[in-house]
Amino acid sequence: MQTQVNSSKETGFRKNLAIELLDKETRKKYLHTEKHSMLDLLKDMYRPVLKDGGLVAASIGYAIFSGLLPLLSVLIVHILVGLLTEANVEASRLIMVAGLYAALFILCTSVSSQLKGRNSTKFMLLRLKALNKMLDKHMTMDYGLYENPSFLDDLGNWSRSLASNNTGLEGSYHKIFELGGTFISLILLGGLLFMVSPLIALVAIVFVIVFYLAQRNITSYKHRRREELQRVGRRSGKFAREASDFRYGKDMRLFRMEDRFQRAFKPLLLAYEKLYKAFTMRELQLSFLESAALVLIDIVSFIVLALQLDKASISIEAFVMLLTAVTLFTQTVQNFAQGLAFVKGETLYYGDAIDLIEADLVSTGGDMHIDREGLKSIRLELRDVSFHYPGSDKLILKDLNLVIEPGEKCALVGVNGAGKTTLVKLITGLYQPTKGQILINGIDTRTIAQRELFSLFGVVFQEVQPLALTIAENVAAADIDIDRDRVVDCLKQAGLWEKVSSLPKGIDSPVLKVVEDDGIIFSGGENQKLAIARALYRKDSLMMIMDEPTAALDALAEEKIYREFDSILSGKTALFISHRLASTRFCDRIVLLDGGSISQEGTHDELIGQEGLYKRMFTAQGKYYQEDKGEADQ
Amino acid sequence: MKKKADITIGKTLKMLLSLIWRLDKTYYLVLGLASLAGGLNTIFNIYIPKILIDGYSRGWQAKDYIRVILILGLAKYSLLQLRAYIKRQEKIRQSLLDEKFPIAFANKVMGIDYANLEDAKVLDLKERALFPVTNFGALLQLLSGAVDFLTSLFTVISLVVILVAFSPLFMVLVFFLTLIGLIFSARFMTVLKKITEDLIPINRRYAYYADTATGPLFQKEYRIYGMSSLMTRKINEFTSEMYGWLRNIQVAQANTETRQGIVTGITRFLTYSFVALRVLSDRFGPLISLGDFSVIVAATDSFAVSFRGLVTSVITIGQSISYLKPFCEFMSIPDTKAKSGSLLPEPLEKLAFENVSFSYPNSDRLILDDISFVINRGEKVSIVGLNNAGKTTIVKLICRLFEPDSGRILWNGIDIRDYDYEAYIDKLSCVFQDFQLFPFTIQENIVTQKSGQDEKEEKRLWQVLEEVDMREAVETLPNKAQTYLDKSLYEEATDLSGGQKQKLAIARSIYKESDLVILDEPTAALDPLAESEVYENFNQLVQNRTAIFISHRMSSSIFCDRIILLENGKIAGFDSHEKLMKGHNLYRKLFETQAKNYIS
Repeated sequence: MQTQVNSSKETGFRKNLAIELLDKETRKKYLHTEKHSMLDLLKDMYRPVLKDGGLVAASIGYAIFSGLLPLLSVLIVHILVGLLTEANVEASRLIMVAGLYAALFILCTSVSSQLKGRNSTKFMLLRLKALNKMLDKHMTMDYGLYENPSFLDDLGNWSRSLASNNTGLEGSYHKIFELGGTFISLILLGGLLFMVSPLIALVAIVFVIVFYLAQRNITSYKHRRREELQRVGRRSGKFAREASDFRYGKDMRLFRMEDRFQRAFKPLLLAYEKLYKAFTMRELQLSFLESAALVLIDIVSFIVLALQLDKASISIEAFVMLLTAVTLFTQTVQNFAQGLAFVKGETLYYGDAIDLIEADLVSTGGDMHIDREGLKSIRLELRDVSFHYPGSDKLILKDLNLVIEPGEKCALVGVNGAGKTTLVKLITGLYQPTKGQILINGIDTRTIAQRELFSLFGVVFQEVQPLALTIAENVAAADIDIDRDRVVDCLKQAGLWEKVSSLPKGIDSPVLKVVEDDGIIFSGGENQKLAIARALYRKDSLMMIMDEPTAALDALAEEKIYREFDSILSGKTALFISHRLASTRFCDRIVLLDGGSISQEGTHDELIGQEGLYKRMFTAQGKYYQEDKGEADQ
Repeated sequence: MKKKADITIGKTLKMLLSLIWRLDKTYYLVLGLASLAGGLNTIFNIYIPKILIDGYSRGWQAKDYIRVILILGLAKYSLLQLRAYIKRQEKIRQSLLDEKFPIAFANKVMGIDYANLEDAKVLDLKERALFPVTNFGALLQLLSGAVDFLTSLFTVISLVVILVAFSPLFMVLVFFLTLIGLIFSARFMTVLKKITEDLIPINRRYAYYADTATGPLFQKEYRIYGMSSLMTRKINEFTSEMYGWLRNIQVAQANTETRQGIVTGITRFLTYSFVALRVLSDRFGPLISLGDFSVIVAATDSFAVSFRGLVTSVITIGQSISYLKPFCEFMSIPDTKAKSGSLLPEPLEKLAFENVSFSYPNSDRLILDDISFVINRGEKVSIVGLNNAGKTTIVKLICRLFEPDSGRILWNGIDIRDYDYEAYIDKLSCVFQDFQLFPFTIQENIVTQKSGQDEKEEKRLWQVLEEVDMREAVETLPNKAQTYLDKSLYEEATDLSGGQKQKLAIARSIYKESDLVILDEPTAALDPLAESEVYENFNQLVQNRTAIFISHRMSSSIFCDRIILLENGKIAGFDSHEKLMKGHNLYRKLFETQAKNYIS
């Protein structure tokens, strides 16, 4: 299958996918470069299966043994009725025939169910392997894409075929496994009836075609409309989840919001019902055709047989046998057509998943490297950087210029909504500037391999929460090769060691109760300290970025972090965001972000000497303390 | 929360049945019809060959055959269509119920005592309750189990009638053999039940990692810290664990199928021999025709299948009920309104804590230890203390989110528990430390209760937005105050910054016409200018209402009339800023630590 490679000839840089793929149609074209034929998809699905000789042998064996079963039922009837119409047949012969049949029946069912039971779990593994690739995609694709809700909708749709045991990829594997047997039965019974009258086989073929086409119509109709249904379903699910989210509990009660949620549920349920009705309407409409075709097989076969019986061209025992054969045949034909349509439908979804797995969804990267030899810190330069969010014209940053020298400690301040956090996301490479360049040691960050770029930074984001891993895993951001002494050091520096060392399992204590019942729940401040420890742990990082790292800490804890700031940084370049301007005094230089660019910069003393936003903010925050100092002095 | 006795399977079933009835009155009718149509179809298919074979002995001509076959065809067609129609109804109802169940659950969460929501056990119960519904399809399993049960029941009864008429002795024999097959099924089902129950926690953990890998919370960290391989490995740990379990299930199932295949083989052997002998001679009963031969053979086969289906469906239903047990357990937590008092509160004159002690449920730590204080009408009181001193707990007690373990909280001298819950709540407004905005429009988030006077509401809305300095920001949005707040739900929504959200939360609390305003860390996310605006306009914001203010920023306590200093669960001081600065150690220390950063 062909993969889409993201590169732009004009600039030599990769395209900014967060913006490029905003439009639904462009996105479709980019991701679904070509329509997959069912055959291509099947080839792709069966590549790993064909490598497993045991699984192939089991599939063939299952097809033969389970495929024989219906024919056995037909033959026993034929032989028994034949014997019964003979004169003077001995009872023992009847019993012998029945016994032989029973033995064969037991053999076929045993072999086929053992072959199936001992192999079908392998298909689950194949699905989970594909699912892993999909999850990895979620965690590595362009971050800006991840923030686009309609792209997320698409992701949900496209992952569908990997989510369940009995639909999608795995469902198709199981179904095709069974279809092997159905196919053999179909050939055997069809051949038998073909010998009586080619007409019967012909009607059956007509049925398979009609049924397959009808089902294909239904499934591709559903595949087309799945997005609408998924959207409504997702919304109603999300509302229900939000309303049952315990975090809403206090505000829900204090502001009596239940009624508003009720009002939200109602139209969603109605919309869901309406869509689902439309969704199943096509099925009902086409079922008229399907039932007619099915009944037609019965009618044609019965009439053909009855006429032949009437003309005495078949005997009564052949007639009884063939009636049984027709009943089983109709059943088999129906199963076969259903199975085929199922596989056709489900592989459509699998095609979506493959497209997503194989698509290039990274906006940065190249083959430039930062020469780390002897480097303790980096020089960061933002050159005429502008940024607006995808789908919005509003410039958050405008022609911003900023240089942070190696080892410099720089504080970034500004009012709410000035774009401080956005700037952090740009520097770290989570977002790409819409104009201008970001340079690290003179190299454009878009040309540095993404992994390498990310590895340059230790970052503490706002409102951090831990994952349900052990404390050590949370700090090291890894589960193998953890430097345990370093974890302890970092926890000490972040001021969390006292707490951790008091836990019975120390740094191996699980965090959160989701996975381990004895997990520990940290407070907001402790979560923040844990995140600081994680940023510190990163040995190879050359720059530390902290976004409001002490917002949840009380005055004394905050003070401690500031005091140790220098030893924490150990020479790395640092960028520090805080609303508490006091913290900026620990920095070499303060830059003020206002109106999308840097409007003031300098040391605290320099800035406090200028008339400007910084001074206003500082006095505003310090005013009460100042006044008080005055009083205390008196 | 008091420890509740485990609810029984019977009670769970009863609750589920009445919940389904409440959510969809027509479901049971559709269910019955679907089963009937399914059963009829089976019986009909058994009789078709007999009719045709018997025609031979009756000496039917070609045209007789054609007439009968056409009539049969028409009948079968009608039956198939009827089934298709009912099946569609059933599918629609089922998937709607599947949507409605989480909503019913949400309604429960919104209606129960808040104390439940901070109970780790209840949180765990919630996870256990919802997981089988949202990830396991336990409800759908129950519903389709019910259809299978009724269909099989209908079929089995019809087949028993046919077989008993043929030979009661034979019926007993078939029944006995089927029973042996069932024992194998039952043994497998107990193994299956055990394994799937063991698998639920594993599955839940797996779902946690898979969901967080794709969820929004940690995407930045995954990228910056290269954590995707860590997450994938965590997922794979469960994958290989699950593979082992599932393979065991599959093999056990295959073995059961093999054993059942043997029993079925024996049954067929007996059936064919016995029925053939009956055609041959009348030694074991009256002679039967070839047509009857085909009916009995088919009926015996169907009987075994349907009877097994009957039992399997009972087991499936039992299994899904045990999955849904936590759901029903949660649904049986009583609603708050049930135990509310009935007095209507007068405007606030005096709020008093009288020897209040409190520790959180399931915790030994005494958060508040015999606390008493009085706040008078119009007073502005600040509460300060270190992290975890119990500041927020006081707020929760006032809001009746928790009840004191001992002592009383008095509103105008009357225990707040004696007031009607909703009437009392209407007297309070609050910005909680971890406040949440709702996924609705800005207007709906601020005007939380409609008064019916739209114009007046609108005017006051903009006035309040102005007061928190959000008017301009809201006016520039394309849909102004009608803009939705959650981008993952509405494409036209806006994402506000943390500071802007906090301003809206403040706006919401002052919009509400309450007697008492409580602000718990209301400026944590605000920049210095916005913060000082809130401080400076504080009196104007809360007007003449009584107010309680909690903040880590010590400067905020200056504009309050009095300050409560909490230390180790006790009130270490309750006085004005000036007096506390002169005397108390902790207060002075906290204040000066912060102040020194601003004093040059």
